[in-house]
Amino acid sequence: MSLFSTIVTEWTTKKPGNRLRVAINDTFMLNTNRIIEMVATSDLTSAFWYANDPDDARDSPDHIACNCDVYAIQQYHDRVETDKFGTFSIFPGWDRTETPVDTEIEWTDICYIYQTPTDYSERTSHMVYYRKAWERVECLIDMTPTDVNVEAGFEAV
Amino acid sequence: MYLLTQVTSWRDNRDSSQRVHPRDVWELGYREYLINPNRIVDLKVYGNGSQFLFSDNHRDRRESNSFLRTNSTVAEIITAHDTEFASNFITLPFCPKNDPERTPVDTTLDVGDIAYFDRYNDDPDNFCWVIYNAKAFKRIEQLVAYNIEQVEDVAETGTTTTSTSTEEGEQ
Repeated sequence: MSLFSTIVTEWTTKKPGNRLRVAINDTFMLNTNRIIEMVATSDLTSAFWYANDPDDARDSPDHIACNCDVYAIQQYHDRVETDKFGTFSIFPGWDRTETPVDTEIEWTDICYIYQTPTDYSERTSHMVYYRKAWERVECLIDMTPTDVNVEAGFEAV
Repeated sequence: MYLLTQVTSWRDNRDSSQRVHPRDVWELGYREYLINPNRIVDLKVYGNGSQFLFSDNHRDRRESNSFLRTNSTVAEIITAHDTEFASNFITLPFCPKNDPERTPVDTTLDVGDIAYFDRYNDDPDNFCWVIYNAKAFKRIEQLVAYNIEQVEDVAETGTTTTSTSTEEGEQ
């Protein structure tokens, strides 16, 4: 199970808000533990259902197409993080002027991470995770996707 | 790792279906299923085999467990559960619309999302049913163009060396 970076070309969701045209180049870090029924759409691309909250029966999965092939995603899914918890520096109240608070979150609870243009220049990221089946949390972290990979123990992919 | 087991009794509240049909009991005394040990609760010794509760959808608290008796021993089930899969994903040839005549589409699932495999009565040498969950959201029954032994191969090694059989008609 692990997070992997990919360019998302389709993200159909019943939840409010746009998924596409928010992140730079529509690049997201997705979590392989949310993937259902993955099929190859070409040699280099794939499509699958994506459960935002895999532990909530009310959560109807989104449909995603991305520029990452099935084999590569399978390799990502077979990786193991250094620890089951990752340390994430979260800005209280989405305020970049506040001191970020180190917070331990289980890798399996993370749904996705992305960077807006402002995040890119500030070296921060938006992260969506779930408090288990209970609730969805969106937060701002003082980390880039590369920092997240390093935290997981995957410096070279 | 999945476990190919001889189920002598399977009582469920889900659909009142007879998963071990009287015909299976009359002919063999059991029906073979390839089950995922990650759904097992309260595993106990029963005679020369075992009995346990089994969850079709382990993420959904509304799902009541079914009750199984099998010819596999507790030790065999523990060993199966401790054995690693070739990968955390498994790729299976799904028959679109559960139609065995249609061209199968390779579809990849998380091995943990699969509850069990059942033989396809009309053509058990070439097809089987996979029962899996779209995470907590729903339970899905899907026809796969592999027999159960091929699924076992793929789960264990990532590939299958067993070929499906073709019935030859009279000329």
